[in-house]
Amino acid sequence: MHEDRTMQHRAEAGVLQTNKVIRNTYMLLSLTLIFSAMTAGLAMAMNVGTGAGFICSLGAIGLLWFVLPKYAESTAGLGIVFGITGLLGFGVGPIISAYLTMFSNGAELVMTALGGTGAIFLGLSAYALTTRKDFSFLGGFLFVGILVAFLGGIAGMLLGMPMVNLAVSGMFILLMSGLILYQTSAIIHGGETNYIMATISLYVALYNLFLSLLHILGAFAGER
Amino acid sequence: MNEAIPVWMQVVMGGLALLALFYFGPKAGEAVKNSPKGSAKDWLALLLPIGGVVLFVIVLIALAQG
Repeated sequence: MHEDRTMQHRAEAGVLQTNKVIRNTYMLLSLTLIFSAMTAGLAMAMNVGTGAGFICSLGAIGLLWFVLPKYAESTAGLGIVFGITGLLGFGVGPIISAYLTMFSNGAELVMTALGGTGAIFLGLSAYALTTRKDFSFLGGFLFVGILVAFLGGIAGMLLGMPMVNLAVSGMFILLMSGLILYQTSAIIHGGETNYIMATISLYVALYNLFLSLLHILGAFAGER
Repeated sequence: MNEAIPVWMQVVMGGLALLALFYFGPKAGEAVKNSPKGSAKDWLALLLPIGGVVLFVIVLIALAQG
């Protein structure tokens, strides 16, 4: 009887902890997305060039790879997350500006990519949350897949091969969809208890989904 | 090389690719070794949401093409 109560108490504590991580993650994700939209808008208003945008993105990658993992367990991690998302947003500004000027239907493409990203995120999150399927088996596959796609994307850009870049964007859409399922499932099943890391992981998935979708829409439906 | 991209950016991108390869390459190997293996049923369960995403992207392209 006493053991039953202890087990029930532990199960309840586990559910409360999971709910807290989910709530904090979605709250921080919303704030970082708003902040990114603001910095992207600022970059567009300032008419920032692609070079400056590229440097901001590099800064964000540096913070993401080398600084955040060291501070993810402390409150300093929150500031770093806003630093990363602010820089990435600022880096996206010139890309959106380029689409708006390059294509006559640029505004429609950007809005479609934005709406599509939101719909994919909501759909996949709802799927992972309602089915409660465990997607932890995707971990290794996603790690290797994202690394290969990242290197392929750089190779495609350096060698000037637009078809390779298009294929990489397609790969990124699938990989980022997998990442959303993996991360959401990790939160539900207690594999991820740090909401700062969960937030940045979902943010990166959304960021790449948006850019990849925009690239594909531009290639297939862009009107010059 | 792609002449549309400034040389300094190409050099930085090359450096970034090498950094990613040497920094994350060994970690990727470990991640594959240590992550749980999915059964055929698990991978099949993944097909439904991923297939949905593929269909949705095709619909978005068709809509954007008007």
